[in-house]
Amino acid sequence: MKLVGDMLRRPEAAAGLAILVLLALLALLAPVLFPGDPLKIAGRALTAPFTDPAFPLGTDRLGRDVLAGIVHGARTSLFVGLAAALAALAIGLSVGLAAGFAGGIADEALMRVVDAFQIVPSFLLALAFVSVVGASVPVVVLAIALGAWADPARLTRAEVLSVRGRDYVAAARIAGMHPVEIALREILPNVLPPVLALSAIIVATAILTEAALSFLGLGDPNVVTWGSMIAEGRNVLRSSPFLSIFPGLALVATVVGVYLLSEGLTNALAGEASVERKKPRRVGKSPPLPCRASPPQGGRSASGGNPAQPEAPEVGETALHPISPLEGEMPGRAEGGAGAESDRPARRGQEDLLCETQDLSVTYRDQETPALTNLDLAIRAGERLAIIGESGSGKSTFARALAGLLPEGAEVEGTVDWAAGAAPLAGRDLGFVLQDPSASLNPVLTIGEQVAEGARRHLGLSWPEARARALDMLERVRLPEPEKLLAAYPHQLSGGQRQRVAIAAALAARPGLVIADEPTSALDMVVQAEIVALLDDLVRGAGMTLVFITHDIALAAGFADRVAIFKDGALVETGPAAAVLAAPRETYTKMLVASHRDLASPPLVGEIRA
Amino acid sequence: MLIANPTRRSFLQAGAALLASTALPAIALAESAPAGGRLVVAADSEPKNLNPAIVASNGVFFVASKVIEPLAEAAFAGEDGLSPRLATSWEGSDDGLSVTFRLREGVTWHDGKPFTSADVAFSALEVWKPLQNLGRIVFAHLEAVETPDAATAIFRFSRPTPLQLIRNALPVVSSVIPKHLYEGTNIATNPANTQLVGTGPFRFAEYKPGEYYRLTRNEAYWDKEQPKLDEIIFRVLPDRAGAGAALEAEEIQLAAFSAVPLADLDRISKVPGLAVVTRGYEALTYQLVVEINHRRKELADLKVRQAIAHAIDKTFVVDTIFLGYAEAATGPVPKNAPQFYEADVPAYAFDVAKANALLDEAGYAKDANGRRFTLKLRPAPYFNETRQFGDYLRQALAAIGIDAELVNADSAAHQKAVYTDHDFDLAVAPPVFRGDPAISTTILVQSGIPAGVGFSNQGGYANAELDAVIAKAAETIDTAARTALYRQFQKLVAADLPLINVAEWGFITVARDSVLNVASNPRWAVSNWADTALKT
Amino acid sequence: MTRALRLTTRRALSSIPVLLIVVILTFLLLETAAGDAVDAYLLSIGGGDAAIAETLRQAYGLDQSMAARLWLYLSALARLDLGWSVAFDRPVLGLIIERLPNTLLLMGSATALAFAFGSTLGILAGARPGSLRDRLLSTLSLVVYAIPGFWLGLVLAIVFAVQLRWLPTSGIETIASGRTGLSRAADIAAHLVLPVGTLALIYTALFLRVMRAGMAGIWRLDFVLFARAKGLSRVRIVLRHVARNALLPLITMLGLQAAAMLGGSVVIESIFAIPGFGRLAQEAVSGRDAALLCGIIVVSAVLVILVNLLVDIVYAALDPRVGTAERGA
Repeated sequence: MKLVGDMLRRPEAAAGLAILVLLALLALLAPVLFPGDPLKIAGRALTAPFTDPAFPLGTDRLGRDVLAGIVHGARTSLFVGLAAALAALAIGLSVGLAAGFAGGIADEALMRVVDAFQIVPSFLLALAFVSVVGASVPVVVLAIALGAWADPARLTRAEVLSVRGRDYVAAARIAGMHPVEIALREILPNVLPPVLALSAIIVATAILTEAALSFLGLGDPNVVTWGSMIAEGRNVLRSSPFLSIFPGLALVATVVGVYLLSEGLTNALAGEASVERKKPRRVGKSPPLPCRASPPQGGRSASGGNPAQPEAPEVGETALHPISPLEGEMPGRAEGGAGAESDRPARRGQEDLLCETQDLSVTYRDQETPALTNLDLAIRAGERLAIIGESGSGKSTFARALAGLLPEGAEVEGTVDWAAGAAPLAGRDLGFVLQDPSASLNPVLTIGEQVAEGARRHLGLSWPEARARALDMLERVRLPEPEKLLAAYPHQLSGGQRQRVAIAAALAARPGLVIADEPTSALDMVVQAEIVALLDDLVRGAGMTLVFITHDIALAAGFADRVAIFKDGALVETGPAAAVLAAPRETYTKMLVASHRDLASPPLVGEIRA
Repeated sequence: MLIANPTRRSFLQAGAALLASTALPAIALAESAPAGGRLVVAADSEPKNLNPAIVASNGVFFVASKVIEPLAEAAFAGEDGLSPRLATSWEGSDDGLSVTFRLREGVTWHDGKPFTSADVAFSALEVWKPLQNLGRIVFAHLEAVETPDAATAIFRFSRPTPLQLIRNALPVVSSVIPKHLYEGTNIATNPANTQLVGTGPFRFAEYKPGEYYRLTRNEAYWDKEQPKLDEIIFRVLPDRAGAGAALEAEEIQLAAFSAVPLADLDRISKVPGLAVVTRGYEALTYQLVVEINHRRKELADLKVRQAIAHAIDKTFVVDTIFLGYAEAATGPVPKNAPQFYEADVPAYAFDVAKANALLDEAGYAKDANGRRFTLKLRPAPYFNETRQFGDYLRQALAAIGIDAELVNADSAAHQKAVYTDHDFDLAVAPPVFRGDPAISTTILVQSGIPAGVGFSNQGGYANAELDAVIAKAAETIDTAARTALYRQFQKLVAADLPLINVAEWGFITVARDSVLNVASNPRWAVSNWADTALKT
Repeated sequence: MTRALRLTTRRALSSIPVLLIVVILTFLLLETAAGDAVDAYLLSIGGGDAAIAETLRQAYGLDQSMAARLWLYLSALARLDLGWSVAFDRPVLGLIIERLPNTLLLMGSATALAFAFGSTLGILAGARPGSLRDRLLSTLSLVVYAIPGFWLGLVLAIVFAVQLRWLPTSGIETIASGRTGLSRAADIAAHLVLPVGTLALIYTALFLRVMRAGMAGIWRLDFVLFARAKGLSRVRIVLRHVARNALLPLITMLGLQAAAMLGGSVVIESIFAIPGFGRLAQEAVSGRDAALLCGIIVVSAVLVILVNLLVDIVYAALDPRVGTAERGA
């Protein structure tokens, strides 16, 4: 199973598994290592540990070998843990499947029983059950399972309800498959992974519960368990602490092992989900991007792009801002010509050059192939550059590399030269708009706060001032009733409105450069066009530079000055939008253009703006 | 005379260090003992009914004996091993049909009403005989109590009742409760069962469930010199390790009834300021007994029972399980009841080979796995030691090819399984010897006891000869003749093994040095503590 | 406020069948027990014969069938009468009222403490997933969480109460001290340090882990990337964006854990001799006291429901989405 491999690559899971394998081996080999009854009175009572080679860990109150007890105890403790989890799982899965499948009154009734078991403290239940029925291993197992099955039942039911409506299950139903068969073949495989992660917790809880029950004198006296050893030892905790420390350590180690394994399993499950979404696994501290100052400016090299140290590249402030303040005077834009011949303009004399990458390669952690290879690309101040490519072409990686937002562990080679001398500071010099507006806004903070926070930080405003700025920005992005919106939450807005908010937030601190990473692909067609038009307007109005990343060549064609075509992490070709689209040089570009023509989509943006 | 120290032999074995640390308790003369102070004592249980006239158990006596007094208390020195309390003298008639008690005069109840013979008559007829677990045996033939004057009570019996039995039973069965509070009420549910009113040296002041019982000095106690203490507090400490910790932290000053686990005594005896006291339980001997269900075919065979007796290493039990704080038992009467104890009984030395031979002889050969048969073993859950002995017995039986399956149950389940449902083959029980075999010992082997009576013969054992001896002793008035019958009783039990007596033990008290007059009588923990004092 | 009221009413109504099931299960459990309340009582008084047992059974109505007793109990419960405890010979309600405050004090302070420390440490660990600090805190919390509570309690008691004598070994307050007011409160607080500390230590580990795991998950979300893209300070991203959202699963877990916490107090109450709910339950079980055990379980179920209600209210205050379609049920 892929999941297992994925899980074992995680150190915590590997460590947990190592502990458990060792314990399992001990448990399996116990009859060989220590033949006979571990409860046999074998030597002098209370032999201290490390004094008698026959009893390396000493003997207990009656003269039983502590080491033999611990090794044999592993059998009981692991058995109790596993059996209780299995029993809980069996009950939970059946009830959950039954309830989820049956629905209606049966579901309602079953869930009330589940509720009942969930609100009764499970230790109290186990305590009562064992005291009343009598302490033996099967009873303890059952008692623990009775207190633990409700969670898997609830989880299973929820999973069943969520999968029940899916196509393949519906299809199986229509095909006349028996519900039990559907449950076993279609639903169980979906339900099992999360339930397994839960059952690891049940194993750990079961082992601890058994120990606590034994501590209260409710253990099975016919077998040796760590719990009963600790309970025996507690009477002499002061004089012979080893009697409870050794089994205690074994217990802690086991529980730690189980937790580690469960954590690995949970993370592997989460990881699998994130792989499906093709998102970087973890966004944390990113490595400094190697930046090289442009010789003419004679600036200094600075390690930018690390949001953890936003204070670092202060030098860039004066250098970058004058180029394109949002409300500032609009400097001349590089129209057409300049980029027509080469994408590597000579550095000297190119006054409008904003940034240039050389041999830029990015490799994500744990990845063999780089996401971006040897990329050379220049961005000119004030232009609107569209980066076009299909998913996996490295266009988003490029955007994040520019913004210094690469995930932790990403390896970067090559250089990014900024005309200003230092990398722009995200938020202040560079605004970034993400693809999915419903994910890029914090669900629990108000719109006002989320738009204002960037402005407050970078423009040195007080909160009221920043709020006023936010109000202004919301007006600029043409959102209705901006005053009300300040206090609203993201979930109260439509997708298009949310993206407007995101744009407002990205531009609130008046950055000179805006990078929009597929800002419209999560939106429907009409809204897409509106958002592009808005961005275009804002950028034009303020003379900002726009890097627009999209897979939609038609969209780009409508407003970009220049396009850059990406494929498989490399640049295919670049040039003025009109030129490239009219006469693509590379086959891939031709194909892209052709496929677009085949669809016969009109240049949406152009029409709307017209 | 009672043996003052049953564990001296064990002490000598255990070595000088232990001996030094278990020095005899400080005894101060009553007159010279300092007065005043609060004594805080550990209590491990909270009896639901605190009335010692109804519930004659040590858990109840522990608290209630300070408030409600018996007619007489056990004494190390004194005629018949008794010292007078509410009765000043007692005399039996030659025919065994009456006993005359002279009562102490000038005694008042804690509510100020005078104590009279009417209270004694009421307690005996309305409570001890019909309601009390032990009184119903001792006073089975009590017909009437005459009260010719306020200070005389004459007990009249329908059949001869030995004075020896009455005397031996007095400390346990004769707690007197006030007639004026109980008459005409439902005695079992009377509020005075929890808010005790007595004549004792301490008044019952307060009970906070789960926390403590508080007793305060009775200023009007009949002995003007006593009590010495102002206050006694029984602090509820349900956890077994709690008492030791609280003693060391000086939060309590005394823990009786082995509240400090035996295994911790060696260490705690070395803690400065703490003393381990083994005296004061001489008349509270607990017996470690293997109860046998004779309905099991194998166990009905004397050879099998003998084999089991031979398989038990009593030395191990005494030295390892009881850490020397016990004696090996020879029969149903403990050694520290010398007026009855018979040493010349069949003995069962620890001899595994002989045990195996006996089992082979009985026809229970070992199978391929070395097993002869399987038994269900139920150790009583009341004490650490009964459980540990259960663990040991399982191993001892394994050595002779008997596979014992231990069944752990809580008190209620154990009680029901053994004494009502007979769902056991072997059980480990801790019966108490209460000064006379007729009170709680003969019932362990006597036949014809209905199911449901706890701590009785529920193993289906019936031996006509033994029953006859028991019946005869019950109505033999002559002390010598009666004693002789009980010696015969011991021989019969040891020979036929209706049950196996393994060991006898008293408890241990751990107290701070400052507590004086600990263990001043053989039932000290459950006596009135009027002379107990605190060094200032 | 009206929303909370509606929520309460709905919860209360939907919990009635649940409570009914709980009561029936409790009765069934004690019915399977060997020995009833009278056996247990007789044992506590040193034994008695069959006749006494019969009389007592009649007196307490234990001679009736289970169905009849269950019906009697339920109809009394409907009148909010929790019945009569055979083991204590007192009304169940009085017993519960006596013991409940101690447990609430114990659990409440342990939870509050653990919440404060657990979430703070969780934020410290989750601020930089994978950092040394995170690994250290995560490992430590894992080990602490794996230590059996009773063992931790015993060791803490030996160290701090017996060896160092900084704190009392057990009990809820100095017995019969006659203290009042502030001095009494201080005394109770001193007694609670060890039991609360023991529980809080374990729960801190749990809360830390939940908080940390929640934050680790949230770091992967787009809005955190967006917050970074806005160039916000690290502190603001960690607290306002990551931790603020990770608080939600922590709050949810508080509700889920409420029942487990009540159960976990049994052992701690026994070790530290605190006359609380857990110990009462133990006594009810050993006394085969159906009415008392049912009372305890019903009251703890109601408590759990109340805690969950509180959790819902807090959750609603923290998460603006509650009440809209996104989080319906």
